[in-house]
Amino acid sequence: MNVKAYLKIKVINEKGKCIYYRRYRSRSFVANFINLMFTGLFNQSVTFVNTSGSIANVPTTYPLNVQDSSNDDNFGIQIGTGTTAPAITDYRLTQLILNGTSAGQMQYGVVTVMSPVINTTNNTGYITVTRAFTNNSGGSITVSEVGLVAKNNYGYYLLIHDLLPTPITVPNGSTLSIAYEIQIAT
Amino acid sequence: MRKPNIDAYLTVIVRDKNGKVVYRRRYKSRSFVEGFLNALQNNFTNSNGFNSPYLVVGSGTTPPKITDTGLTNQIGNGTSSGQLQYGSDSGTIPIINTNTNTGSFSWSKTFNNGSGGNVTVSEVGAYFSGQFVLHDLLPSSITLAPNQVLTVVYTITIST
Repeated sequence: MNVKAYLKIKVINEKGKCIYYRRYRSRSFVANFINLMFTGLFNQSVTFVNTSGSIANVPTTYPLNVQDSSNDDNFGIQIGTGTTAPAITDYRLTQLILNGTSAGQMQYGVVTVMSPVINTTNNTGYITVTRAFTNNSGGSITVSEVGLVAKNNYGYYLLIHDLLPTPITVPNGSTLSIAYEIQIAT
Repeated sequence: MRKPNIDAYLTVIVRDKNGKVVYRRRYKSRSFVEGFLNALQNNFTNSNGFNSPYLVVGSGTTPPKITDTGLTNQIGNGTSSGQLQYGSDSGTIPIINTNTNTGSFSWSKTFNNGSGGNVTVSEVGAYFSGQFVLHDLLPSSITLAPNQVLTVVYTITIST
């Protein structure tokens, strides 16, 4: 195998008890990922589309930063309520859940990128990107899609888009933790 | 079984001094190594983007390990005995197929045998962003006669 991505989802209730855990194969690196990788490597212009739908056709070697701070929903791991199947041309979530405490909103935590973990016994390794989302909206919120968005000098770019096989209902007062684990095997 | 999210394929082509293709094979690349994760982490933490691609060939025959930081025995650039003349790295614009939800780009380089003798290539690797990211042992070694040119192509693919 080469590179695989997994999505780990956990819900912790207001008493600190884990009430939901699932691990899925992430399905969907999108075109922006390969286009931004290419333009960085070869410093050639290529088309990529930011989360506002604006198209750029320029070379860029800036990093694909996903380390967003808390209380910001512009990049890093994002969640949404959309149910449209991902397509390679996707450039944003179908229906983003905004950061906040109003109805239908969740509070975005900080994004953490962990250093690679290497297993020399079975020649595998992975890195993990995580973020927590707290529901203080006063009601339950159902999450059905997840994405990973990077920030560079031209804007915010969707790199991965996943539809959850089963939507998750996050009760008020609970915290949803999302982790993208990107694995290699040699 | 589902396909990997990111895949790599390795194509090796040998042309004689007249440009005629005398050997061509396409393999599934097996071995992203630790440096790929480092490069991805450096991107995600805003410390270094994708840059500086550099393909290399070698004569080592040791199976790749995840901790490899270079080829086992890289062939030097030049025209001395046992060396090959390294061309420049080039890439083709990504092709995005909206019907199959797949995308790919190719990364290639030529290695000319101006050494005056045979040179055998048995391993291929790739660097970018200051990291050694791919290491493949060829299923069959390739012996380049004088004035033959080896072209190595890595095709990187994603599927949605």
